Amino acid sequence: MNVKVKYILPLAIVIFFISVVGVNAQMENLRADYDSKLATYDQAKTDYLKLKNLSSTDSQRVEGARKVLVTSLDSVNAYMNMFKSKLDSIKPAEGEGSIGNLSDKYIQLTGLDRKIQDAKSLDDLKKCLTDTKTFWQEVVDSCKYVQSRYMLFQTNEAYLKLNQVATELDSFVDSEELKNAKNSLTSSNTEFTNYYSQMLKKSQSDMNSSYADLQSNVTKYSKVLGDTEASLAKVIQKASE
Amino acid sequence: MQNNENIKTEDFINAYRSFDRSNKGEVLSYYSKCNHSTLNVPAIFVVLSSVIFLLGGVVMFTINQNSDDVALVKNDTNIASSMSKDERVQSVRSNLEKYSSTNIKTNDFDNTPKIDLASFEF
Repeated sequence: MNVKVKYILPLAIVIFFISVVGVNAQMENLRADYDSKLATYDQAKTDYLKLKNLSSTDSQRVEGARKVLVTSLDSVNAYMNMFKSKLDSIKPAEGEGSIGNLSDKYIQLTGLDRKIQDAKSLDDLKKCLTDTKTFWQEVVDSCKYVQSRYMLFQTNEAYLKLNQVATELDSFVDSEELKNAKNSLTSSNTEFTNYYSQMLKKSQSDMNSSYADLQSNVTKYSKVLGDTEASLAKVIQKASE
Repeated sequence: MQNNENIKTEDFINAYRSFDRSNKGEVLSYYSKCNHSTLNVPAIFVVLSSVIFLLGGVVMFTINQNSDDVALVKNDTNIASSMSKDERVQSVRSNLEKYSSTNIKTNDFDNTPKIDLASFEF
């Protein structure tokens, strides 16, 4: 066997699996961190409501309210980290500098956190709560956009890679089943490419407002990809017999 | 000019005749300054040759690199044909397993719990 195939191919496969396992483990860790921050925030809210009902002193309530806000921002930060990880794994479209505005949200979060730390009274913190609510809604919108782009990117990558597999098979297998699978893949890929380029032109708010349509389209294309995968697996099976 | 040069040559002969071994270098250096232009032709020739030689080396290295690339591409093409059918089936199967579309999760965003801030007031 050629030296390159003998050593480089297994090495590439091992590196790929390590990276896949690494990415999945990172996502799981980020989700666990978010869940833990969310639990701390819920506890801070419960503690504050107790203080309120006990007619505690102003200073006790101020500190309780501050803790609610600080833990809420910790949760927002953990939520953003999950989507930042997805954002980092996708490439911007041609001519696109960066995807969305999630990166800017980290700067805003720092500013808001400073405002909360500097607040002296409950009234100051009430204003901070209003700002945090607005900020949280903006973060959700940014993350929704990242999720849309992530799904589109993953679908596009799956088409590219499945095409590579089909072409690789075509170089040594001649069967009707493979031709049908290739035709179906090519036609679906052309349709997806048009859809993808249309979606890339949309602004964050436009894409978010058509999020349900996007989900249903990605599900539709994933089904075609899944069916093609199954067909190609059958072709491979027959080729190995 | 001719006269001037003769005087200098004469100076040199005189100096050379009465030279002290330790001053030999100084006398020769004086003669060299008087009778040659400030452009040191042999030195320039050496420098230019070195530059040309280096440039030639760079050009040859680049050409060689490109031909290596072509050779690698050809080799890559030959890898598939040099593999047995079983190896090719194995390769394409592992590629198919890697590129599974089941990684596309359309409900991830909806399934992530949201922070309950809207209903909370101090």
